[in-house]
Amino acid sequence: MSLTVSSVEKQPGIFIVSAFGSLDTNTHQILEKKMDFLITNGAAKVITLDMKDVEYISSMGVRVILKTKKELSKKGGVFLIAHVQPQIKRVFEIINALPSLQIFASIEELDDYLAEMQRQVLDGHA
Amino acid sequence: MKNLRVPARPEFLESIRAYVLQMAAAAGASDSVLFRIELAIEEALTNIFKYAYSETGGELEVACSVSSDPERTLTVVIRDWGVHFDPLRCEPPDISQDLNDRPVGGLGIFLIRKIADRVVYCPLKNGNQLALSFNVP
Repeated sequence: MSLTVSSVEKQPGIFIVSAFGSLDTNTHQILEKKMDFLITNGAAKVITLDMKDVEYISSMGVRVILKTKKELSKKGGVFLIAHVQPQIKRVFEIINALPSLQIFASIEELDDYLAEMQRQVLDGHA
Repeated sequence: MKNLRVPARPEFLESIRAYVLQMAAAAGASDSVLFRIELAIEEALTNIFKYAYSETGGELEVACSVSSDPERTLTVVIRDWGVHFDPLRCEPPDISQDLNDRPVGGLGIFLIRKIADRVVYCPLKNGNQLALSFNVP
C-alpha cells in the first residue's frame, strides 16, 4: 500500500498536512520527513494532520504521530488531528492516546478552534 | 492454500498481507476483523525483521487455517529461522502516561496482544513460531 502526503500553510506557521493511503511500516517515513521538514525548516507552530483518507495505521505510523506531537510541544507548538476514521480511532483508543490527542471531526470545527487560538494570541499581545 | 515462504524483509510485507487477507476474506471476516488481522500480522512481521533477523537476513513462512467448529477461528502461523524472540515476554508500555511523556516506540507487541483473540508463541529448535488467532464472526 502507498501513502501520499501534501501540506498547505493556512497562515504563517499554521500548516494542514493531508495524508492519503496507508500509514505503515513501509510508508511512515514519508510522513515523518514531511513533519520534520515543517518543524525544522517551516517553523511550524501548529500542524493539523488531516486523516480523512488514511485507511490504515500500524505502530510505525502511530510512532510518527507521537514523535511529531512531542517535537512540536517541545518548541511550544500544537499538534492537532482532523477526520479520523473509526478503525484508526480504535487504534488510538487501544493505546490510550485519545485523552492526549486533540481530534476534530470537521475542518469547520478546526477553523473555529484556530480562530479562537489566534484571538487569544492577539488579545495577549494587545 | 499453499503456505507462503518469502524473504523476511519489509518489501515482502505487501505480498504476505495480501495472502493472509485473501484467506481471511474467504473465511468471511468482517471489515473490522480484517483490519485487526492486517495490523497484528504487520506488527508480528516487523518484530521478526527487527529482532529474529536483526543481524542476519532469512526467510519466514506464513500459513493460514480456518477451524471448522462453529466458532470459526482463523489462525495465522508465522515461522522464522532467526534467533529466539518471545514477544509475549516483553514489558508492556505504560499507557497511563501522557503521550508527551511516553517513549515513542514499543507499541507493536502491545497492539498484537490487544487485537488478536489468541496469541501463542513457541520457540523452535532453530527459530520461532507465532500463532495468531481471530474469531471470524
